Amino acid sequence: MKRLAAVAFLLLLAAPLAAQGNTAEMLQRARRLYENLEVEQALVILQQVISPASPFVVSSEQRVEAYKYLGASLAFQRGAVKRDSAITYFRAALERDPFVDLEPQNFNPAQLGAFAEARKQIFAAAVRPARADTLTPGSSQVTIQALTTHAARMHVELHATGGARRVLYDGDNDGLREVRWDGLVSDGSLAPADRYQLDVIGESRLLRLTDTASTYLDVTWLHPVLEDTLPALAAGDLLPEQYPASVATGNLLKGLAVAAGALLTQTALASSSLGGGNALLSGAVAGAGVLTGIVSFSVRQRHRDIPANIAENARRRAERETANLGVRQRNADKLRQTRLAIGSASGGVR
Amino acid sequence: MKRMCIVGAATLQLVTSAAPVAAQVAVRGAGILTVVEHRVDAGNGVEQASGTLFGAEGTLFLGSRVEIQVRGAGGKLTADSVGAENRDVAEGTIRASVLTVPWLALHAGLTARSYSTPLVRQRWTMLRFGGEARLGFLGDDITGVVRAEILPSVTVSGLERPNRAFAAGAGLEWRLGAVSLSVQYDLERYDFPLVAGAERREQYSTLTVHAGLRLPGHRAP
Repeated sequence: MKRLAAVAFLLLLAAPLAAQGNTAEMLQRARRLYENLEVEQALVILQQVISPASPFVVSSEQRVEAYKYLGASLAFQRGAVKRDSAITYFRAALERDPFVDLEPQNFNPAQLGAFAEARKQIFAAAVRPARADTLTPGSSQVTIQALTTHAARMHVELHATGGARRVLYDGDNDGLREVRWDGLVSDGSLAPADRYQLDVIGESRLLRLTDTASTYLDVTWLHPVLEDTLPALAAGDLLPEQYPASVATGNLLKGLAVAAGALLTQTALASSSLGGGNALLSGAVAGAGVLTGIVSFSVRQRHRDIPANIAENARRRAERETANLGVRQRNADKLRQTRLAIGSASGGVR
Repeated sequence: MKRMCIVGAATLQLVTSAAPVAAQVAVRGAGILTVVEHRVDAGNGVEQASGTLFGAEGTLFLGSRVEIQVRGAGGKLTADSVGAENRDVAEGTIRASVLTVPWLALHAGLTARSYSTPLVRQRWTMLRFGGEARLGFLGDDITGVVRAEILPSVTVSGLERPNRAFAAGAGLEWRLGAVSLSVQYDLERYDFPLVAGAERREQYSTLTVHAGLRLPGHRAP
């Protein structure tokens, strides 16, 4: 029972592949008939491919191919009706893929004329996703293919989610245009690593139509590992540059403590039976203590800077700045070697 | 005596352990002028003498924590009261200090002093232990000092040992580069035991002015 289920599952999986394969075979057969000028038979097969009743899965590319050869087959036949039908099929092909084209060496002027007419009747702008590439700014460029189906004003612009932008083309255009990008943004700096949207805006010169197309690309920087700069000095890394206000008061108290020490020695420790200590001797020191305390208090109130700490902090700041300058220079050298890795991102439209 | 030896040994150990192996050595020489007032009451009323001593002091700084100081001074005291006699005074002190923290020094020292009259000479020896609080002003350009000492062993020729002896003082030191100037008030008090119905008291008060020069000039951190 299990084996049966597995076989059924494999058959289900294989069915669309087989169907696609059949569509490809039909297209191949139709092309061969067309090349052998058996146009009527080719038309029958191509009609089957685009028919809603086709039992096979038809991919978008296969449908475009079918429309292209339907148009070419009808344009190959004589008559205005056939030509109009050819143009209709070419338009259907162009509407599905504006990049579709007829190679001049493989198609006759009537076919090319009908195709050109189809391009005039519809208007579309398109862009192809950029191929993954590595770009060395200043010495290489990446090529982007953009297109308007007929004469138009075309604007091609790249803009990053982070705000960087660059206009790659702004002017007249007719058909396919290869636009080159050197990896720089509008201010001349290297494109930041980011996701970029590439917009193509076309304004038809023939019809009152505007069309837009977008694709996305990811830009990443390839360079040697950069060094970190030293962090900013925190409060704990610097010495206090001013004495707190309490220091002045402390100086006054110290002076008073010396005076008190002298007077206490003379009064409390001296022998009372000997008449105490000599007040003149202790008074001299006590007076000096009080005077020194007052002067120190006053000086410290007016001059709170700590010159040694200010100089040391300046030295530490300069040392850090010098170290960071070196890091920045080395990083700049590494960044000058930066290459851009460009990859196509999902989300592209036409 | 046993207690004295224990305290002495402990101080010596403190000094030797605090001295850095490769200590930065500095010396300071100072001239000193001391105004002295000596009061004695031997049971016959207070005898007072005063005068001025001149001397010199040398201090050896070993690193930032150890100081060894030698000091000598001499002069004449004049009797200020009836019964007192003029006398010559000479004294010498050696003292070792250890800064346990930057603002507190513990010290031990020995002082020898003599009072001489034409008839008699009295010799004193004092062993002293004490502590000294050093209060820095204005980035340590000025230091206030408050000190207290006990004198556990005092010998006086011709007299019993005092049963209580201590000293205390306060002072200030100003420094300008290598030059220092200080003023210090000290008082020593000696209470002798009762002998023949009289308790002898002696008190030695001083006001000392130092003017010194330190080499090398910068202070040890």
